[in-house]
Order: sequence, then structure tokens, then C-alpha cells
Amino acid sequence: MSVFTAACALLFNAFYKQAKNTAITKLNEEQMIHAKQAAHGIEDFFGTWTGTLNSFSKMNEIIDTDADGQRYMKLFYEAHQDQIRSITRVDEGGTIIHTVPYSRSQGRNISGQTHMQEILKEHKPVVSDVFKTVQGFYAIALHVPVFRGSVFKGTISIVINFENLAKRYLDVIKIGKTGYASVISRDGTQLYSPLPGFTGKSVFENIKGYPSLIVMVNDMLNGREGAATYTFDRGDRNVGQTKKYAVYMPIHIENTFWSIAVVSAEQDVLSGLISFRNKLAVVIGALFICGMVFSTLGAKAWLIVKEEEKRNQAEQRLQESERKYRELVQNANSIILRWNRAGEITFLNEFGQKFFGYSEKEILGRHVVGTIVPETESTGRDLSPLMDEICAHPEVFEKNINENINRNGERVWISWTNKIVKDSEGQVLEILSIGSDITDRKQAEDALRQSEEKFFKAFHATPDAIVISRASDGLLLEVNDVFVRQTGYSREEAQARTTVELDLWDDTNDRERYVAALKSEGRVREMEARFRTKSGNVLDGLVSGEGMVLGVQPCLLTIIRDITERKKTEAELEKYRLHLEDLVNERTIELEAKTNELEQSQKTLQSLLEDMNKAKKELETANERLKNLDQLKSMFIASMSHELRTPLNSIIGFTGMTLQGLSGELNEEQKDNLARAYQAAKHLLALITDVIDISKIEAGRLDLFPEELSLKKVIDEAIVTVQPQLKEKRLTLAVDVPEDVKLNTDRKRLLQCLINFLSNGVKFTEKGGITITAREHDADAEISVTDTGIGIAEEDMPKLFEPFERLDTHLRVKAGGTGLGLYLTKKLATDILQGSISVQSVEGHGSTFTLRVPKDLHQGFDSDKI
Amino acid sequence: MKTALIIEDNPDNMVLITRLLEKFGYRTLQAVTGMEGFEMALQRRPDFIILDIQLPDIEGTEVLRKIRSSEIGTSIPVIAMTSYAMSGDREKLLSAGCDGYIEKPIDPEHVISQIRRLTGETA
Repeated sequence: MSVFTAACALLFNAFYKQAKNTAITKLNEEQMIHAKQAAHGIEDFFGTWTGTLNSFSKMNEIIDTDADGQRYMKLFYEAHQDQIRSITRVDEGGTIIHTVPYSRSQGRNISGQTHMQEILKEHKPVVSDVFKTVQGFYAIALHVPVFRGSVFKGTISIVINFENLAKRYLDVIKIGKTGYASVISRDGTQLYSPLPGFTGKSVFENIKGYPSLIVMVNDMLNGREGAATYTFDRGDRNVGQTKKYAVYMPIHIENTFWSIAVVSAEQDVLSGLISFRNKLAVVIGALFICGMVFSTLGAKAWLIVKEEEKRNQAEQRLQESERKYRELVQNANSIILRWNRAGEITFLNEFGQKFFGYSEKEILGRHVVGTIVPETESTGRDLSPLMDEICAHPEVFEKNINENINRNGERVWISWTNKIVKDSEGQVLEILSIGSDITDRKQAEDALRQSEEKFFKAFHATPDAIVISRASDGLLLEVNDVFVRQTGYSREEAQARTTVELDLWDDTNDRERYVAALKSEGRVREMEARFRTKSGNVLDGLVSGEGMVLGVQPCLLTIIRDITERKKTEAELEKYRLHLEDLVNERTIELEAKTNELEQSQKTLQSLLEDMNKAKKELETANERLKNLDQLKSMFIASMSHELRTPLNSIIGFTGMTLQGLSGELNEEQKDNLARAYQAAKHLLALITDVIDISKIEAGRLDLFPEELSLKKVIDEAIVTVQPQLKEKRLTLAVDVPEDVKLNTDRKRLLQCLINFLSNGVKFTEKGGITITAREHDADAEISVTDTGIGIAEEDMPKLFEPFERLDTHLRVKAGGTGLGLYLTKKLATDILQGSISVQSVEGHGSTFTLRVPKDLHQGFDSDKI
Repeated sequence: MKTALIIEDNPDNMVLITRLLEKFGYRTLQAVTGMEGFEMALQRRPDFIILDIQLPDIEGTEVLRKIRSSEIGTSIPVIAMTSYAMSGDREKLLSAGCDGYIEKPIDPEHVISQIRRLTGETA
């Protein structure tokens, strides 16, 4: 049994261990992927900025850092100020020539800084250590060399907010409940850690007291890649020591490298294994329960035997006390009492006086109750009425047994023989009572009764079948309920017959063995035998027996325990154990095959990845130049457009004010001239505004401001802007928009799209009207603007959303507009609002422009692409 | 006669706003940097302030913050002025504590109606 349990425990342990190792391997693979992604992300990040600064450094204005160059630096800073904190030009001697935004460090020499010494010597891009700025954030400086021809002319550098970088590549790493990333620099500074107070300190200070970490940190500082296990104690009593699994790898950046570690706690690994472990535990649990049941039954059988022994002892005690009693009577030392019909004592002999502890004087004339008779017996019987009854009808109470009490309050049981004393006329004079102390006998009787009660209870309550048979002829005297239930014979059928008559023994040899053992040993313990029930079923049993005396006759107590189920369970368990072994073998073979397959596919994947990386690198170099050029272009357009707008605002402002007559009355011609100038300036402003928007979208620099809004309200707002033209052209307007549609999107950009649709509709419609409908489609909202205007020819459809493709030449409609409206609308709809735009049209009958956008512009949208 | 403080670095725009306000009967004070404007607001206590958001020294929002945390508090209305509103500018400025908001190019009627609303004059 215990061997079997131990075997199962071993099996459990082996299974559990294997599953745990697999889980840890998987976790480390997952952690490595996270680490790689973050590392490549950070490498790309710096690669991109180095490329951008490189292109910038080749501009003559930047090399000279003249007024134009300083202006370009300002533009560069403004275009990237969400990413960079400053841009700085340093000369070949290490002195800061110009910095944006302006700071007092301008003119200062910084050649003493380690990374400056490196670039001044090596003339190659460098990255500084992470430092804490005076404003309190962590930052990194990136310096790129500036050359005129082949002559080194110092550096151009930017300061990058390290926290932005961390948020983007490191904060996102979350594995399980506790997994996180940690980054250290080559000199051991903790660049990033989600643990409070760690960032910026020396990693050795942070891991002080955890020797298991030092090996890993040393590996990291040597730029190695690997995996490690260590225990970590945060000093939190509730958490205690945590076992952690970590992987680490270097991040290569310009002149240096950092090392990233991705770490998870052991409980993350274990939590996934709980259900597996529980299933195994059920099997082990079943085995333990069997063991428990067997030992309980054994204990119960032992109790029964024990009770029988007690009963025998009690009986012996009884015989002993009876002997004592006889002696007492023979010695004639009895209590002799006389009392009258009023219950008063008239005589008590010396023995009685000694017995109760009263002198003759003290006791004579007193009532029996309250002196030698207590009011109430310990059994609860009231004695006062009994005494009255005896006095009234002494003839009925020839004998009675009641409890008495002596002077000291000790209670005794006395058996009384009462005789009536009559006077000469035959009247009852008094009662003569002779009493003997039977306290010992009474106690012995009680003990016997209790012991028999206990035996009876055990006899029926035990889960085993019990038979009491007469030793002389084997007739069954008593059987318990379990026997009746198990054999199918009723108590009446079994009593006064023998086991042979009942045909109870399946094999008569078993009976002979049992009887022989009883004769030689006096008792039998747990002999295996098979028994036949009334219906002919055969049961496996364990039979125990022992001789006893019931009343006066020698008897035999036989206990039969049914072990049929246990036998069956044992056989099944054996079967199951064999099956389990087969199963383990089978699974092991499967697992090996799977592992081989996996290795094979991993190899294939790896070679594929290598090919891909090669191709990617080639593509990257090709793309880089293109990207830099494109970004620079977009950046300049955005900034220059701002410069263009400022004077235009003045033109529009002043002409507007004059036109409104605020500077004095104008004649009609002056008014007309000014109105034309005013309209032209407004048109130019609209054009610039559209160009800015487009260039910003193309550069990926249009910021997104999602907010909760009512679609109906935004549509109403768009309608207001075209209301004057609608009125002027006498066009109808139908609005079919549900009131309750709520969106979470960029209000301004949605409004811009809707206004564009509406003003287009009004512009190209001379008769009829405009219809606006809005509908919800699952997670999207769809808004359509239908007009009854000139429509669009099929051959013009493809050009519709191209920039500066105005179709008016065909249509001979004089329309305003920048020619960028639909192009911009499409860009906003797809690139910013994450939706789509479509058009349906029949030439000469009108068009329907439809915008479909997601109702919830998800927060994860990456708006600050580089 | 109510007094307006105009904080604006662009000379053309300064002239335009000044002339417009004077046409409508306001007295004007001028400042071309954020710090100058803040100090002038403290000393001269105008009835309202027109504040350009893009200033050469400190940002308009910083000037606004300084005004609001000074002893002036919210006693003087501030109207923010920006060149072509970026998406979100209006919300950003109003939540930063601006009482009004003007976009360039300025529309004389819009400017005057905002001022009258904030100074409690009926149009």
C-alpha cells in the first residue's frame, strides 16, 4: 500500500516537473521575443535619428550655422518637439555654437564630457549616458559629426526624452502578472526599471544583497545573451522571496551597447500548471482515501473486541459483589427500622444508627423523609409520595428498593423488606423495615447495563457483519443489521440455525480452517474467506472471531468484514497503474517526435529569417535616404507654411477691417477691389491650410485628439457652415440622422470631412437639394451626403481623389475651392479617422459621397510616427 | 472707457488689433513678450487681455498660468489668440483657463462680440 502510494507520488512528481520545465522553456522563449523586439525597436529608433541628423548635417547652412542654419534648427526643433528636447550645434573644439531652444549653455565648452571626447576623436556618431536634466526628466544626447568636405567641423546633436523611448519600447513589455523589462547601460547604470527608485542608480547598488543576480549582471555588462534564474527579495514580508526567470541580450547603439533583461516571477509559470497538478492530486488523493477507510474499519473492530473484554470484567465484578452481599446477610448486620403510619421513626437499631450516623435521641420521633430518606432520588424519583404510599398501604410494599441518605449526605441504595406490626385489635400499628445496603450491587448492575448498551450499540453500528453463536452446537443466537443486509437472510431466518445450515461458507475448507484456528489460538484475526449470500452471490470477507460468555453459556463472536469492493478497487488500481505506464510511454514517444518536428521547423524558420533580414537590410539602406529626404521635405513644408500664413493673416485682417468700413466709408470701386483682394487672400489661406494638413498627414505628424461626441451635433455644426450658400442657391436640405449615436473620434477632423462633403455638394448643385443620412453598422458609423447636382462622369471617377484634379473644365461650372478638398478628405478619413470614403454617381443626376469611420478610434493608434 | 492689454509679438497683428479695439472705443496697452505682458498686467490691471499663444520668450499658456496664479487670479478675462487653430487647441486653451478664444485671421465682428460678452457690455 505505502509502496504503491510512494510510487504514485514519484510519478506525480515526475509529471509535474516535466510540465514545469516545459512551461519555463516556453516562458523564456516568449521573454526572448519581447527582449528582441524591444532591442530592435530601440536600435531602429537610434538608427533613424542618426540618419535624419546625418542628412541635416550635410546642409551648408548647418555646417556654417549662419542665420539660415539657426532658423533651420528652430524649424527642425519645432517639427520634432514632442520627441526631442533640444537640438544643438557644437564646434570642432567642443564649444556650443547654437542651441534651440535657447539656453545659457550656449558658448560653453563641453569637450570634457566622455561621449564628446569620443566623437571629437573618432568623428563617429555617439550616444551619451542617460542623464537627469535640470527639469528632472531622464534624457540621452545623440551626436552626429558634421564635415565640410572631409574636414571635421564639430557635431549636431539632439537631446531625446528617454522616458518617451522607455514608454514606447519597454513599458509595453508585460508577461503574465509580474513580467517586465529592465535596461542597463554598458557602465552599469540602470536606465530603466519599473521598480520605483531604481532608474538612474548603479545596477550594483540596486542588486546589493542578491548574489544570484551578480552573475547575470556581469554577463549583461559583457554584452552577452542568455537566460538566468535567481531569487529576489524586495523586503516585503507578504511577498517574501520570489524566484524569477530572466533572459537578457545586448542592444547595439552607435558607439555603445545597452543590455535589456526581461524578467518574470515563478508564480506566473506555476499558475498555468495548477489544473494539471490538481488532476494528478486527485489520483493520489483516491489512494490515500482507501488507506484511511481500511484503518478506520480496523479501529472499529478493535473497539468491539475491547467492549467485550470490558463486559466480561463487569460480570466478574458483579459475581464478586454478590458474594460480598451474601456475606453481609449471613453476618446479620442489617438495618432494622420501625416507623408509624405518620412516617415517624419509632425505632432504629445500633447498626442502623451507625449506618446513618444518628444517635437514638436524635432520630426517634422524626419523619423518615428529610433524615434517612432524601426528598428526591438521584434517578429523579420523588420519595416523599412513595413514603406516604407505603404508610397508607404497607401491605402492598412487602419489598422495595430506594435510595437513602446518611447524615453526611452520602447516598446509599437499600433493599427494604417491610412487615406490618398490628395491635391486638388487628389495626396497623407501625411498619417494621429491615434494610440491607445494596449500593455495590446496584453500581455493578448499572455498569453491566451500560456495558451491554454499549455492546449493543457497537453490535449494530459497526459496518461489519457480526454473528453470535452458541459454542456447544453452533446455533446462531444473534446477528446484526449489517449481517442481514449483506447476506440477505432476515434475523428470523438466521436465528436458531447454523452457518452450515445457511450454507454461508462458499468453501467448507474455510470453515474448518476457522474452527481449527479458534480451537488452537482461542481467537482468529482477519482470515480471508468467501461467503455465499442468500441469492447466491459470493462475497470476499475478512473473518475474525473470539469466544465469549453470554449470560451463562459460552458463545462465539464472529465478525465478517466485506472486502469485495476493496478487492475490486485493488484490481482496478493495478490495471490503471499498468495503463498509466503505457500512457506515459506513449506520450514520451509523441513528445520526442513533436520536439524533432519543432526543431526542424525552427531551423527552416531561422534560415528564412536570415534571408529576410538580409533583404530587409538592403531595403532599409535604400529606404533610409528616401525617407530622410521625404521627412525633411514634409518638415519644411509644414514650417514654411506657418511662415506663409503670418503675412496672409495680416492681409486678410487689414482688408477685412477696411472692407467693413471701420476705417471710413469706401466707394463702390474701392469696395469691389478690396473684396477681390480679400477673397483671393482667403483662397490662398485655405490652400496653404490644406497643404499643411496633407504634408502633416504624409509625414505622419498630424496629432490626434479623440473625444466623446454626438454625431448629430457634429453634423449640425457642419450644416451651419453651408447654410448661407444653401439659402442663396435656394436648395432644399433633408437630414436623416439618429439623435443617439455617440462616437469617440477626432471632432475637428470629422467635421472637416463633413464640411468638405457638404460644400462640394452645394457647389455642384444648382437645382434640387442635399440629403444627409447617418447609420450605425456594428462598430462603424456611416454618413452619406447626396446631392442632385451635375454628377461625375465614369471616366473621371479614378481621378476624383487625386490632388489638383478639378473636373470643372469638363463641366464648365465655375467653382471655388483649392483642388485639394477631396484628396485631403480621403487622407483624413483613412489615415487619421481610420475609416474609408466612397462615392456613387450618375452623371447629370447627382452624387453620393459616403464616409465610414469606426465609432471608437482606439487609443493605441500610433500618432507620433517618426 | 475700458482698457485692453494686447500681448502680441507680430507688429502687423499688434497694429490690426490695436486699431480695431480703438475704433470700438477701447484704450489699449501693448506688450511684445510674455514676461513684459505679465508684468504690465500686474502693474496696470487692464479690464481684459488679448494674449497671442506663440510668443518669442515664454509660451502664451505659461503667461496665462502666471497670471492665474498671481494676485490677479481670475479677476481679468483673458482671450487667447492663435494662428490657424490646430486640432485640440481650443479645448486645450479653454481648459487651461482662457475665457475666450480668437483664431487668426481675425474676424472683427467675432473679436468685438467676444470682448463685449466677457466684459459684460451688451452688444
